[in-house]
Amino acid sequence: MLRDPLLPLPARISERIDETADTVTFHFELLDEAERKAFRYLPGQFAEISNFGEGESTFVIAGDPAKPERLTVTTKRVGAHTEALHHLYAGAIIGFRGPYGKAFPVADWKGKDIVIAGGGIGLAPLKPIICHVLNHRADYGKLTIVYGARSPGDLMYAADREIWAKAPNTELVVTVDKGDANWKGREGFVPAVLRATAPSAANAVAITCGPPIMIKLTLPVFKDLGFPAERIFTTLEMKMKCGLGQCGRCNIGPFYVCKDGPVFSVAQLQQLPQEF
Amino acid sequence: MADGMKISRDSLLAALRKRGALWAPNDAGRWAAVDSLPELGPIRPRRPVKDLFTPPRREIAHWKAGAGPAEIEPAQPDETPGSVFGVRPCDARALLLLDRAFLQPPHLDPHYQARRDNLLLIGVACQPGPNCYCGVFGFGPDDKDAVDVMLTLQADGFAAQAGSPRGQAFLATVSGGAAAPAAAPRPGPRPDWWTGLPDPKALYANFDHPIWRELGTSCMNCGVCTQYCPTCQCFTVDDESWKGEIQRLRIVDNCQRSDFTRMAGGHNPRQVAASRLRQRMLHKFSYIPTQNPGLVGCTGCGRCVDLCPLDRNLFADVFEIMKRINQEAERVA
Amino acid sequence: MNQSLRETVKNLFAKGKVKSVLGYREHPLSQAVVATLITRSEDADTLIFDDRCVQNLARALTRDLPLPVGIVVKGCDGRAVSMRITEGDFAREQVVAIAMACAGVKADGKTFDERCQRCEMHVSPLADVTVGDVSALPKPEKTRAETIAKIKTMPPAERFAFWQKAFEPCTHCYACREVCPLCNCAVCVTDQNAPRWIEQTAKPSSNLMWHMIRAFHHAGRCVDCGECQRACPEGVPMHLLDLCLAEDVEELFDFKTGVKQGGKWPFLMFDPQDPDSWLGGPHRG
Ligand SMILES: Cc1cc2nc3c(=O)[nH]c(=O)nc-3n(C[C@H](O)[C@H](O)[C@H](O)COP(=O)(O)OP(=O)(O)OC[C@H]3O[C@@H](n4cnc5c(N)ncnc54)[C@H](O)[C@@H]3O)c2cc1C
Ligand code: SF4
Ligand code: SF4
Ligand code: SF4
Ligand code: SF4
Ligand code: SF4
Ligand code: FES
Repeated sequence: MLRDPLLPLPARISERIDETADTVTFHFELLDEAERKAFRYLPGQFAEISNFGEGESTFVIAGDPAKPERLTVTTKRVGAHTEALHHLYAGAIIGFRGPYGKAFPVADWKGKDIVIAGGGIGLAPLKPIICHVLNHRADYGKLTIVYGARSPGDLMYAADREIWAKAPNTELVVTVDKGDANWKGREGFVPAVLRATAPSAANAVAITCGPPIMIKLTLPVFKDLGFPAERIFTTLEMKMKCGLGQCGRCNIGPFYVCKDGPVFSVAQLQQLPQEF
Repeated sequence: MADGMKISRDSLLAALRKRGALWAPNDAGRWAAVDSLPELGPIRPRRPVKDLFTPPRREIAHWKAGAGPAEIEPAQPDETPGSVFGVRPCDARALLLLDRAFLQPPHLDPHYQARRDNLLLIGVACQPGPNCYCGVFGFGPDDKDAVDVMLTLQADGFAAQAGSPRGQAFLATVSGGAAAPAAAPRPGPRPDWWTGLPDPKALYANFDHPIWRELGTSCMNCGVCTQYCPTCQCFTVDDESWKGEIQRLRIVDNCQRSDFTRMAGGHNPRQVAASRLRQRMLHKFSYIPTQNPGLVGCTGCGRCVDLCPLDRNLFADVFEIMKRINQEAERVA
Repeated sequence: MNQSLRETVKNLFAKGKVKSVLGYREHPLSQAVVATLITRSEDADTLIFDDRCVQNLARALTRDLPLPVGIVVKGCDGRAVSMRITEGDFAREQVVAIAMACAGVKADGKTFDERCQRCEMHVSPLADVTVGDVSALPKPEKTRAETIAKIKTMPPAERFAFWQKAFEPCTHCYACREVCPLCNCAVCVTDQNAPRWIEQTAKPSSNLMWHMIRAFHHAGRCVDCGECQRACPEGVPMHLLDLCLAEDVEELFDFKTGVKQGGKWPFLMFDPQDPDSWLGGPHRG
């Protein structure tokens, strides 16, 4: 018989990492061995995660797509369910359903330079792209990552960043809005730092994720750097419930963000009503 | 041509009961299990027939508080064979729209599918009322396209026509039926001022038109129109607990509700009345037709017109919007 | 009355007293009376007022309308606007009340609404201009006390059973909330999920919870326009409960909702002298 697509699969948290004061990364594995072995996802796809009895919410799968048995989500505490999730530790059971949504078209990007601008928790959807590019290093050109957060304490993925910093043909620029006594790195907002880093747009695609205000200020920088709207990508955030294109919540124009997105090129976004 | 049949009430009931469970509208206008064929009102009941297929509150799974993963019990789709008596064409056509939402690969809803597969739709032709608009959509009160069998009440039984092979097969099980010529389909009612369905693209192109704002004052987003609409598909997912038993539920919801799009942190892209009213109208008359050429997100049942506490009339509003848009387009040309 | 209403509105526009006006119009196609917002003097000719103007437009007052906004009000509607001013939703000068001499309205198109039959305030106490003949308005035919006597005289157990049964058909659609001019919380308790005070689906416990909270939040605030009752697609008589509370508040706190602007109002006021008969005191009938 068909499985109810709204029914979550049980998964066990294998590791919890407190990234910042309000952000936690969970690594977890599906309990069912057959499901675990068969599971695949692409960069940018998301999942519905539940703390059973407390609700369900949407998170991008923020792991390495080449290791689909070890799943990852990074969650920021903003409301009822994310609060409940943050009470869970290694060993706890959560519900998982996915993957949902359209992925970043990484296959189309072969042979191109990749420029990534992320802010705060916006690094989560970008991480699978970075993993994918590093896994297939020869397929892509230069990888530039500009990552910023409000303060040094708000920077996520410390261990990953160490790897990225040493990766071949990769430039990682980390910045904070305002440093503290121990901060020796860069200060400045992502859009300004991106402008200063000035990656070439000649044969490149740009991807940006972060707080709405950051995205708003970053897009003109990409434009100034010479990126056409078709080669700038972002993800659209919209309240979601089902992830299947059924509950109607994420409907915008003739699209469902969960099914037709959440990844959109800026050219596609320009066609949508300016509702969001 | 004898593609119709004449059947008696008793033999119909006998055949329906042989098939299995029987559902029909009750006095409160809700769909309930019945033992006999009730007298029906002249038109659709208060609640749409979708309640039987995608109930306002449907369990996804349940478990005991603190249960392990093995004890999470998925709800089982209801595969009881049966029939629904007294389905009106507008409600039946609305199911075709819901099929589009819930039977779309790869994410089929097995609960919905089980009901669709197992429940025979027995239509009964209506005596259209003042708020019946099926004619707007090109069908009428005895339309048989979306039901399995269409019945027309007669003094001594029913005139029956099959609307599907499944219905044809069912009619063959009704005893004592006599072949009879089928009557020509009756046209459905529509307002005399109605000139045709709006152009989905033109509506969408006027997303920012001030008319939405103007209409916004005449709607309080109470959501009654969408709650009783036979085509509305929206739902939410949430957990409820009661005495140590927890349920994961799929609960009816609608785009008029203030928290429909309100995100964590309080940002709501559809904060004002006008934007939610626009969502409802555009979803029905622009987005659905754009996604599915040939379909419109409304079947003209008129419940929203009947029940709107602010006496709004969807069709009058759609007409007014298009008139304004067309006039302005002409002025520009 | 339509003519003098239109003149009045044009006059308000001409004198710069309003930037917009909320009123009623007859929809040219459906012939139904619907709410309308006009922003130009010439559109005043679409405005009407008669016994079909059942809706309470006070709910449509929002701060994003072009202010000051004129609003066509019946007696009950005006009390709602007044209460919203008292509660600080609007500054007094942002709203211009166009008070109609209202003889009553007919939701069913035939007889005056029950609330109109016992109406004591046919003209809004908040009135910047008055339209129509206020001297020729009907006297109340019955009283609120009569309407709620049936409930007030029930013994507690019977009364509880009555309400449980009354709330049974409720589907938590919250239409009653959406049309209520005083249901103006930024986020209603029904929509809060941390904690979730009221479960989203209907069951005896959540029905009771919703209707109790709703009634208490309306104590001393309900203006008896009856919109909630009229909006309810399931025919739940929740407004009766509001009436019971209104009776209590008037009696215990000597407060009539929306009659005077400003000052204190029972819902948000605490006074050690407050009557507390309902707090463990002898059971009130
Ligand atoms: C495609 C996509 C990917 C996302 N990826 C991440 C991620 O990797 N990490 C992260 O921390 N957050 C992510 N979010 C946002 C995250 O889904 C919300 O912050 C979260 O659902 C809030 O849940 P809550 O119960 O704590 O908040 P509440 O305000 O209590 O919300 C209640 C419910 O409403 C829904 N909801 C509320 N806000 C949102 C929202 N912004 N987006 C979607 N559903 C919402 C959820 O179902 C939630 O359970 C993503 C959102 C989308 C749409
Ligand atoms: S709209 Fe048409 S199909 Fe529906 S109840 Fe009325 S007459 Fe029947
Ligand atoms: S029923 Fe009427 S007032 Fe309520 S949301 Fe629908 S159109 Fe608006
Ligand atoms: S929009 Fe109104 S008329 Fe159309 S199907 Fe829905 S309730 Fe019926
Ligand atoms: S978006 Fe609104 S109109 Fe469309 S199906 Fe959902 S509730 Fe109905
Ligand atoms: S009382 Fe009526 S209007 Fe109010 S929530 Fe219940 S069903 Fe809806
Ligand atoms: S999340 Fe349900 S339709 Fe997109």
